Amino acid sequence: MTLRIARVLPALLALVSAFATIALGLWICGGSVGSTFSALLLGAVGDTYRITETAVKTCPLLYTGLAVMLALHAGVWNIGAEGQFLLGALATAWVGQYTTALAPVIAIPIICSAALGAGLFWASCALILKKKRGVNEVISTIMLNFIAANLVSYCVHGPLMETQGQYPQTDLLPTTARLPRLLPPTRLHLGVPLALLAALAVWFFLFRTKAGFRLRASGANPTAARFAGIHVDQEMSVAFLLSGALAGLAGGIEVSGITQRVYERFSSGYGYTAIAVALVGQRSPLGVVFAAVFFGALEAGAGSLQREAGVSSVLVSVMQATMVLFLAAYSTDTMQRWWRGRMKSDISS
Amino acid sequence: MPDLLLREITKAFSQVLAVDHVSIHFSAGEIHAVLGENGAGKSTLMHLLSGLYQLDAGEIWLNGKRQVFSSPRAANTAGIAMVHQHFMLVPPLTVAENIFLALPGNGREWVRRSALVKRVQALATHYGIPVDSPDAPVMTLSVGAQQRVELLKALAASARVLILDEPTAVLTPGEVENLFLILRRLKDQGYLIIFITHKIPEVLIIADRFSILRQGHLVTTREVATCTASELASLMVDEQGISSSRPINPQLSTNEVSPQLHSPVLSVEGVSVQGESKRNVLRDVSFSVNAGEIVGIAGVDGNGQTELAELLIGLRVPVQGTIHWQGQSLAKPTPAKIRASQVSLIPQDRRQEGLALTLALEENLLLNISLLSTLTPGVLLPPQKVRHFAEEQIVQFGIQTASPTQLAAALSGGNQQRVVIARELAANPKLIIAANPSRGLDIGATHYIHQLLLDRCRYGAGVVLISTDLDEILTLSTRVYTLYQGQLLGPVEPVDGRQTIGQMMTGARISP
Amino acid sequence: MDILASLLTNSSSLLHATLIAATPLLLAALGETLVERAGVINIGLEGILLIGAFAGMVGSYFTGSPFIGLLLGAAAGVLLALLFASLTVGLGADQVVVGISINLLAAGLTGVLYRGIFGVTGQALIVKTFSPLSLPLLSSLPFFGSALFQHTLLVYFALLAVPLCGIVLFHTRAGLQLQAVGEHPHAAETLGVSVRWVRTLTLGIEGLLGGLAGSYLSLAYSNTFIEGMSAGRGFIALAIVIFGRWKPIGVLYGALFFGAATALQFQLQALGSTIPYQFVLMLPYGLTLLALALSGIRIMAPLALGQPYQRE
Repeated sequence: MTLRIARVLPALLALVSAFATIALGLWICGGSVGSTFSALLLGAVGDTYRITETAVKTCPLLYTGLAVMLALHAGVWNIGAEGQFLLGALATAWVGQYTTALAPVIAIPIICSAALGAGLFWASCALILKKKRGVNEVISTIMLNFIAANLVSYCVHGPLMETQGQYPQTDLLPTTARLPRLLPPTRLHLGVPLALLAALAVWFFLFRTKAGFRLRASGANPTAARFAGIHVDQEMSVAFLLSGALAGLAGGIEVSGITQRVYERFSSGYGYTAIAVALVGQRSPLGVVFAAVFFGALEAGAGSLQREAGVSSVLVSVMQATMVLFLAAYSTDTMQRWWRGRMKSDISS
Repeated sequence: MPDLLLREITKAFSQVLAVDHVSIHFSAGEIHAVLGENGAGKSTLMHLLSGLYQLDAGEIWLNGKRQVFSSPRAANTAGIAMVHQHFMLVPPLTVAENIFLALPGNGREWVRRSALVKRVQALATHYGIPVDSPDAPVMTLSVGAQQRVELLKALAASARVLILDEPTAVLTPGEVENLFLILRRLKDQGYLIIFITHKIPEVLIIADRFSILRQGHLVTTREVATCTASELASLMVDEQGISSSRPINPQLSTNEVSPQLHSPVLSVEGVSVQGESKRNVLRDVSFSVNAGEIVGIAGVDGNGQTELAELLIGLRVPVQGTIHWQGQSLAKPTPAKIRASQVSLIPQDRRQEGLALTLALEENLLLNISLLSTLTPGVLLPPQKVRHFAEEQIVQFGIQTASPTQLAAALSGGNQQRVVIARELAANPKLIIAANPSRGLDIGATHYIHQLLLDRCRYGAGVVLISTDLDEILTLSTRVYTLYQGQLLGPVEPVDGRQTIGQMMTGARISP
Repeated sequence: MDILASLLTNSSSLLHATLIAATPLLLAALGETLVERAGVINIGLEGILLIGAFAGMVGSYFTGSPFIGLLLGAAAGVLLALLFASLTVGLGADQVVVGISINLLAAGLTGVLYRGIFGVTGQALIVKTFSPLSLPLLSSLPFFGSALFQHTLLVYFALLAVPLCGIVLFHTRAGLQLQAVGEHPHAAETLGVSVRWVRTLTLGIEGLLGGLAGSYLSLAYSNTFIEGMSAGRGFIALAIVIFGRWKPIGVLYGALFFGAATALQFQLQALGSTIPYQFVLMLPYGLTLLALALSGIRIMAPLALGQPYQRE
């Protein structure tokens, strides 16, 4: 079997296994398997509007998925994408206020830079704690996620609260700072094709530049990379910061393109879903695009679940989690050996 | 009184006979040394005895009863205990607790510390194995003290046969003396002590009998009293050149190599390197390499070779002495800076240190920072250049692969090594550090690599060849040093030097 | 000054509130301590808490007995922990990936099941909870009586669990074997200890304790289930394990510390302090970072922590 198929296989198998498990669970609980899955499908791609909603839901997942994937290539976990996303959104809402006098061509890059910077800043907090005090970055990033959520709450109740002072949310972003809608009356916005561009940029960085190569080598085998003359610790730090910046950008784009303001519970766990996206995407930018689209479709379809099939929309997170668990199982050496033992390998040696 | 008989013990790993019909009759009350070079089969044999591996063929008889050991625990129950080179002690637990864990009993058993300490001290006195602080965490003890804990652990668990794997590898000379005192006392009490080593002086001091293994089969078992050091050395390292299964290529000649003296590409002066537990793993090492010559560094694994290679590429810092690469000494040497001075390294463990197995072949060919910058100046990594370079190397070095995009993990060992060598040589180094470059390779690949190194020399590079393969050293080197316990002995001329070098490798000779 | 004065006069109730807030953290952290001592990091602890909270609430709702709820919560915790074990110990999957997925799974499952069973309502469902158990004689003591001896059952259990864990861990062969597994798994195997069995067993125990901690949240700490009610306690418990140097007594101090911070947080609010409540809410998470930062770089974690073990 060719290399390409071998790489995609665990993800596909995981998908099938997860769906089968969910179907089984639904059947046991007396739910309707058929209407659940058809509700999801129709909800995701049933008509043009729904397809654009899938694209809209895919957008933040793609940016954050790329962020997590980037860090993974260097051998680092960025569990803090959630918090970096929120900081990026906050920064956009804040800086955006001051861009009323500018043309969109200038305003949008400015708020995007603010979002990038905020994400990078939030990531650097965890990085500094790690470098200077040896704090485990998995725990520190999770703590920072919670702190970020509370920070958002504080800001929308306080300093960034809308001028009317009625609801806990920021003012609407000035029109100059909003990403233009591409297909009114749908919500498809410029951020979506930009996400694809981002995937391309990440791909280019990782696979067509020397810096990206050094980063991937550090993650693939830090010992060999050290022998080769690469400064592995430095590469890992850079990857982590870049990852944070990208996650921050995701937040900014979500504000600028869709919500146009920040409010309580702004993120529906994008940062954590991003981890699933990065893993299902098997760490290739193209794979992450497909995974993000798939998960985005699930999110878009989730809305119809309650209406059409009487199942809570949260079922989608169960699907996502189950998929990742199966993927984790199928990716282990034990499973790989079992699989290879059943198949004659035709890779020449 | 243990009486241990091994009859036609055989064990193979993927069709290579690691232990080939070995028969030895050990008796109680003796210290029996098992000698051999790297890969002779000594460790495998002992792992079979201690239950870690299972026999393919042959029998083990203990005290007249046939034994089958399915696990180390089974061997322990039968009274055979192994003290590994890397201790099996739980570092933060105390001496008493570690010994407690080796005693039989169930999970609920209470740890009565004061009673345990008293018991440990009683054991220590009984066996004559001094243990200073039974309450101290094992990791705070010196290496010698830790080894004594391992011995006590084995004895407390009622072992009658003790197998010690290279026990003096990590000890200071003083600690070695203490160990030998203990071993003699145990021998007098009727224990059987099997002692794996490659160091001849120790065998002469401590052992009653010895057995020599070479390539898995038993060469001989004799009384130590009937043998001299040089006889032992020549038995271990065969004079007729059949200590390895690979004949030397008569077409390879070092005549074409003409060292250019007084233009050293590497100069090491009085360098000492500290390992863990502050022991000097390299002691006052001095040598230099001129352009056009191959300096061989022979020795049995574990005498400082790993540290020397790491030192030369900048991954270790000496506590004493200086190194000049191409006449430059660096204040804070890093692999990047050293490689920038046209130095390449073929590391001894290609899978751990030389390749990123999850990356493609063509990417692994770029895993060298100075090669990267010469090949592609600038920020970008143009795929055509990468592909073209890979295809060139594949042809030039005869790498067998389906395509340059194949993952390094899918290549055979020989081809993996070719990738490493292609990469390191493509950087046009003036100094090549080659650590066991033909390890695990077949004859064809080995000859190919040897020819490559000789060619480079002819064109003015200098090579440091660190190898545990004496034939390789003798074939290629202009001069040969030997690493023994961190000290550099020699130099010796390779012509007719086999015996001398063999003696140096085993400690039978400390000066030329 | 006023705040300080009123804190002092309320110190007995503060201590009481501290213990209440500390209990779920303590139970969860004790479980994780055992697991990490065996060499495994279970980030999925948060999910175990959540599912315990949900199962506990469901049990009490349908049977009217918080005890049944407790049992159900513990069982749910054990099941989730064993799922983690089967993937990480059984197959050698990445512990971080599986842990995070377990959290997502628990969040999703509890959401689906809650809405499925009870429908989407705006009101929280009230369930029968544990009433405080006043210990005879002891509860009449001045100051300490009301602070320490008028608690629900689980609080006493959690406090007793501390010396129990300490004794098992440091004074029995089983405990020493557990430590060996986490420090030097190869050595443990040569001593006849099965690394896989020990790790699976400790994970099961953690599931039990975590499930209990979760049920406590819905059956004693509050009287209902809200989605996401674990609120990061599982992660704080992970930090407490590090802060407490993987020792039960250290974990107790850590849990009390965080419990006190939580109790203070409510007192401050009640006293009308001017600090915005969000910063007060941030307190546990910020404190965690602070505690970890101050713990120092060279902390003695179990040597084999986080590394899957392969039998040769």
